[in-house]
Amino acid sequence: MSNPSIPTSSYERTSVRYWLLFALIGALAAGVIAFCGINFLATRDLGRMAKAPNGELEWLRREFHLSDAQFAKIATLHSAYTPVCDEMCRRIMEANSKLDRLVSEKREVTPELEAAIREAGSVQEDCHKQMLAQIYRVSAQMNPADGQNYLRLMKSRVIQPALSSDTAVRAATE
Amino acid sequence: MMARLLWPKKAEGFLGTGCFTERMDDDQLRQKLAAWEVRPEIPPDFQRNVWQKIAVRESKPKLPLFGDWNISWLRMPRLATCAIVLGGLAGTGLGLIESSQANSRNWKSLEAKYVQSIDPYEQLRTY
Repeated sequence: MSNPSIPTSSYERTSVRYWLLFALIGALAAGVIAFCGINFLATRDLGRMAKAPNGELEWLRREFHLSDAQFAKIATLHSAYTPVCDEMCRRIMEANSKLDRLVSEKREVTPELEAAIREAGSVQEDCHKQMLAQIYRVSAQMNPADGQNYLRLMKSRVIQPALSSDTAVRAATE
Repeated sequence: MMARLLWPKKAEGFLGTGCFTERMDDDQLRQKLAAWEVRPEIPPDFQRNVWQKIAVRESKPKLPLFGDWNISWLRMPRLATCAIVLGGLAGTGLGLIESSQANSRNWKSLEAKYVQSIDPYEQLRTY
């Protein structure tokens, strides 16, 4: 008795070829559709957050498990700190530009250059104080464990890098 | 003789051979059978096809653990369906991996954005 699934005629061989082609194209199409669909659905939420203007606050809420009340207070603190941070930016740029210009112009340490160095240092000190105060205020609004985690993260991302190497001149020229 | 008197019409089909209506002795029966020739019509590539099928069957590995597989389920529509399902699963798996990496990148960028929002030096660095 012959095996009906083994093609022996040319018509059957052609039919097998069409089925194989259909299987290949179908598998590729299914793979691409599944890939794009899953990618879109799984990244939609965070993608939207990343593009939103205050996405970083939403990140803070999720990362440190803030309640609505905690989030509202922290958002208020953040809004109040933003103009302070902008002012710090302006003062740093001004002090560093002045210092950079004087360092390029002078050939010895003059009183003017000394004053510019002191000013850049003073601005840096003010900036660190303001940042640290803000970090402590925010962490105080969180639950104790999350507050500790927040402090640890801010220490590694903000405080330690600021203290380790950057000078005022380098910050202006980079 | 009685049969001929009662049913005078000639018998047709296998009854026409007379084997079942006439009483024969062994010699006559033997002669009748010897006279009966069968001439089958064999297609020209019959032998080739048979050997081809034998070769295909012998080349397929047997899995005694699962018993003899019912070869009928490997028909093309079912094979195509399996291929499409596997393609979908592979796409889903790759999509999950890629989306996980994309989410991780987005999460890190949001963290960096928050740090920038409170650190003036970080703002200047990326300005």
